[in-house]
Amino acid sequence: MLTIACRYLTGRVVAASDADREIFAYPPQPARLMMALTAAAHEGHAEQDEFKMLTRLEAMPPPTIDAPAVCPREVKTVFVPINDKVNDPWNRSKQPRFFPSAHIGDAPVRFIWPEETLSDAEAASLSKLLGRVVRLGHSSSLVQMWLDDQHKSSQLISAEQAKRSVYVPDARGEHRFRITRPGTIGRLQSDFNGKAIERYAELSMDLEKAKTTKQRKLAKERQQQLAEEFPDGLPTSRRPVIRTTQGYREQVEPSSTTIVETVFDPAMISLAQIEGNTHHLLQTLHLTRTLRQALISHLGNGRGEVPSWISGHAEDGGPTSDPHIAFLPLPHVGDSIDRMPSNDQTRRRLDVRRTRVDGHLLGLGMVIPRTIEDDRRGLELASFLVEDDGTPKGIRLYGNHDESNQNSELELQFEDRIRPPRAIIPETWTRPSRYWATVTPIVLDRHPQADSRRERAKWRAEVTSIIARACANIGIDQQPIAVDLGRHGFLAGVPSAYRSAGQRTGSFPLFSDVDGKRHRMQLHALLEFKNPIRGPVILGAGRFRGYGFCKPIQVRN
Amino acid sequence: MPSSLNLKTLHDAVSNTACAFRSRTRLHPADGPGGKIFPPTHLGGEYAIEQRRRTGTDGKPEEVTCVLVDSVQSSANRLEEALKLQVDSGKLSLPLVRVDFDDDKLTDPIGSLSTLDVPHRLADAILRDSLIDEDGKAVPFRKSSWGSRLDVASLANATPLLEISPTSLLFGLWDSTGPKGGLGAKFQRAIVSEIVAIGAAVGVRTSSRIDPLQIRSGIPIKKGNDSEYEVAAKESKGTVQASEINHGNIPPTIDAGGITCDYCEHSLTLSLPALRRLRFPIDGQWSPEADNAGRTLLASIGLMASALACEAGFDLRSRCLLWPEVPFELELLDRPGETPERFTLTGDQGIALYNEAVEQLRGVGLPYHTEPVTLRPKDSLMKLLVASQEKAAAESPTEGD
Repeated sequence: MLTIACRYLTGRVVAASDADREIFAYPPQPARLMMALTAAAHEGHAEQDEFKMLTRLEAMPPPTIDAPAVCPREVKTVFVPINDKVNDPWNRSKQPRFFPSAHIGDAPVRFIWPEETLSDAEAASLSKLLGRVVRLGHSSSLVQMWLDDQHKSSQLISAEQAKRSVYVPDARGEHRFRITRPGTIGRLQSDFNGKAIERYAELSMDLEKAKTTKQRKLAKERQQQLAEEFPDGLPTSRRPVIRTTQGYREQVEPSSTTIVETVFDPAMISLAQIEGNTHHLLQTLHLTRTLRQALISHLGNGRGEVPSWISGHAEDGGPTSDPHIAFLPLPHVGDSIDRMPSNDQTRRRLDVRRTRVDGHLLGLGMVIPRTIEDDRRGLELASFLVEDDGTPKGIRLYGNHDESNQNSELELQFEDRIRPPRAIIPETWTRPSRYWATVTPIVLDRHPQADSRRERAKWRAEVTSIIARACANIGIDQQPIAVDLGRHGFLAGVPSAYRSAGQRTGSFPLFSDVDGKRHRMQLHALLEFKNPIRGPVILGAGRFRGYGFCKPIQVRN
Repeated sequence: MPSSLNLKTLHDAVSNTACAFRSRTRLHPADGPGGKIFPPTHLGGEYAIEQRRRTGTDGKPEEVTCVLVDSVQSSANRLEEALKLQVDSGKLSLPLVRVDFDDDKLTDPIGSLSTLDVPHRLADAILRDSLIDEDGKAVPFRKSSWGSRLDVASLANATPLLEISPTSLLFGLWDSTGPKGGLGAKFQRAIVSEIVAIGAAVGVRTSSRIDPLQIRSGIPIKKGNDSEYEVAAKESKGTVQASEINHGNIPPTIDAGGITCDYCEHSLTLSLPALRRLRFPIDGQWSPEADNAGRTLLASIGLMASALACEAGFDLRSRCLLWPEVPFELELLDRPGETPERFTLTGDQGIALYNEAVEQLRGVGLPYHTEPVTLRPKDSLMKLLVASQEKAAAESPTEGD
């Protein structure tokens, strides 16, 4: 077994997600470790045997990551003075920056390769290289790394187990971590192109100096060298990026908390909007209907047959009782609520970063039931999402996308950017949480018999049991321990669940009005479970059309 | 019992396998434990808060609220300030590049700014936009024999910067606007320091004003030039309330403000692998002696600054003066699992250690220029500065306005 241990010397991890600079990234992913080792080798003037170890490490299978629990700090905007524009030295322009971080203490993070062993010479080379590493993450995230040859797998289950998490590679795991594969280090070096940039700068500076001092012969020589060595001018340097990812699953000990999963696969397909007017959560039903029609029409044009897990219809044309594909809105909404200490009914609806959250859509999502195998998914959906060469395809949606009865057009694209907006990242909607709040209203599967005004307590109990049933329908076998109901959204940016008398705008249209179904009650809910639930959580009768879509949230007491 | 840190121990630590010098000091508000302090606020007037887990007095785990009191970036500036105080008082000779401003032309005099003041240290745009007299000619700093060193400096050749700005190597520098663009000389910070309040409770702050003249609201006032005003006959367009000319009561308000805490923790780490990446060739030749002498000197500056800052107390901002519970103490982290060695270091000992490190540095033949390199701002920078100050004066409200 090979184990690399990493202790954060300041007791603090400072690292931003590669997808969003405002999000704290933890545990450190294998690619981050390899980039830190590569930087250490180059900056620390490593010897040949250490570079050889780097090539050996990049080709190893993804490691298990044993990471202590951390306590993240609220991410705040910090304004830093910039260097490219100066006016008053005491009043310099400042730009917003973020330094997401968490307290970790002295416990080390370990990267473990259970099947790998090193010779004594290799272990010596790796130890030398690890001793050169200065940081993992931001420049203030100082570390000490070492080859942890004392560490045995049994030690993972230690007294501190409850405060640690172990992440193991698993293609179907809920996390996607960046990893390396053979050739990654070479590509990083060629992308960075440091030597060429250095050489170009050296020749240019010499040329400049020769011109200033009027050394014509030298200037001519440098001019010629520049033209020969760099016929295309200034060499380019690309920011080194690792795109290869691997699924990881958080290993759950039998004694510790169980994470409950739903019938829906957390590997959500995100389609980012790239063209067209801005759309809003209120247009959810219109948009999901057009997207569904576009998919069915695409598949129908190809073969004339649409599988029931996509159409939602059984062979006899009636609705299938099996879970099928769900279409979802991906909006910009809040992600936490405050629960005031002395009054548990009072909440302030605040976004944690107090940013403007208005419920506009960044794109749409598709969620596939877990029971559908990868091969079947690829077979049916690949031609809808990507071109033959693997590049994302533009998906144009044309139709009536609001209540104005006027057609509009927008274009979506399968999300493959390195840093997509947060709303487009599946983990925003699927991370395990005990608290879930609706982003679109839950359409109750049946109408409650109790009167909501005269028999309030009875009505609440009945609605709670209908929602508990809806949870069971998507595979959540535990009853929520608390359900809070309301007409208004619990999260910032979420509109009211239905229109009150006299209200003209700012609330969700009724599911029955748009989808032609029979009238059902729809409302917002905040659910609390005993054990964390892994999303996506989509509840109620509108779950396949984007209603009843919940977001994992933080509740601050 | 911790021993006093000496040059040999420091040199050995830098030259061998040790990983870091680290200090963790408890601080209390200057008015005593439990006193109220005001941490820095961020966008929206909020504090940076985190919940930490710790073992409580009853042995059970508990969560405590912690608030950031001094950030890494701010702490680095504070360490530089501690060095500057000693340089200004003549107790310390440190290489500096300084820009002297002609205060006669300025509304707000600036005096001089050095590499210990400007945010981007030696690569700062203020230095870039300044001139130095060389061979009887005024030369832009970056084209001068001193400034052009930045173009050739790298991790493998840090000698040119060590000579004129060692603090830039220690606290970090990125020459992002030089001829190599984003790939210009980049030196990562080797020292990281932060202060966090542990076991914090956020309090409230009140504000109000009682007007001794008891001027009532609702009286229309017409503003004139030069802080003049007169009472108007009736409210009309352009009339204002008495509060707008700084008269009248201000009703009391209560906002979130200030914290009390169990204690504050000042943590400081000097990374030795970060220093070991720096090499100090002499005439293009590398040698372990020169490399270790250069690195030891930088370590001595970091530790000296830390001891000086600690002794001076931590006057972080208005109503946030902290005082250490114990004298400054360091631990030397070497191999994992080994018990760290402990050392003490006072400010005076830090200065003596630094002076010895300078002697050692010069002994191996490395250059070290302790006379300040003096620049003056370009005309264009001065004009920009004058215009900026005039604009600021015109925009800021005058007394009674």
